[in-house]
Amino acid sequence: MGTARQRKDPRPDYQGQYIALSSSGEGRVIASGRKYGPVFDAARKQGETIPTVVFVPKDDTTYFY
Amino acid sequence: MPIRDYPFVGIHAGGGFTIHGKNPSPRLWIRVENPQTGISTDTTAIVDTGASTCLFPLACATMLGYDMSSGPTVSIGTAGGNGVGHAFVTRVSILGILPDGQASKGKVLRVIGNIQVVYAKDCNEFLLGQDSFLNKFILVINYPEKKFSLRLPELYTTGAPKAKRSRHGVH
Repeated sequence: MGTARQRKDPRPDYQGQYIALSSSGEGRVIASGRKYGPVFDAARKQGETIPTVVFVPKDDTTYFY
Repeated sequence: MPIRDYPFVGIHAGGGFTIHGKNPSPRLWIRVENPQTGISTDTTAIVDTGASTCLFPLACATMLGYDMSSGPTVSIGTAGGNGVGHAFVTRVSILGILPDGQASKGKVLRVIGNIQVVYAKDCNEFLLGQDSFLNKFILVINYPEKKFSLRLPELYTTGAPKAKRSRHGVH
């Protein structure tokens, strides 16, 4: 009897990260990471002249600002 | 143009946006620009009535080309503790929002202008606070219906006399 392999959830999870979005309509995520700078840079390198970079808050966290 | 019935926006773990969806909050899509370099970025910013000023992530200032040695340092106190931020003049504009919650990048609803923004290391989000942003507006937040409006004080016309009308138009 083999062991069951847990299947990974195929949906991306960007909680606690910055994401850069494509400006070409559908708002596809074109870069992500914990640090703002590399995500901004990656978006510029992909031709985004005004990169859209957003922080994705964690679902299970209460934020105080 | 007044910002009328701007919907709360939720940001999902997968990177998507929803209007009035899960965990929505009063956020504006804004364009942030360093007026000296012309480098800009679009992002969502939380309308934060508890913040005394506008607070953005420090790494954003670096990417926009601000000289860290030139900006005056400012002491900041947050829920997470005390720290130091750098203040820079930043051009901020409010963008429109699409039905799917994303930015309408080509639609600038209002140019706030060049305002003082504090950039801080331990700040992940973009916060629009009182000094240089909220103090310009009359803010009305409708939490049950998850929408909010920003109006300039001169547009707050309650009690103002109505213009007389004639056949030829408004006098």
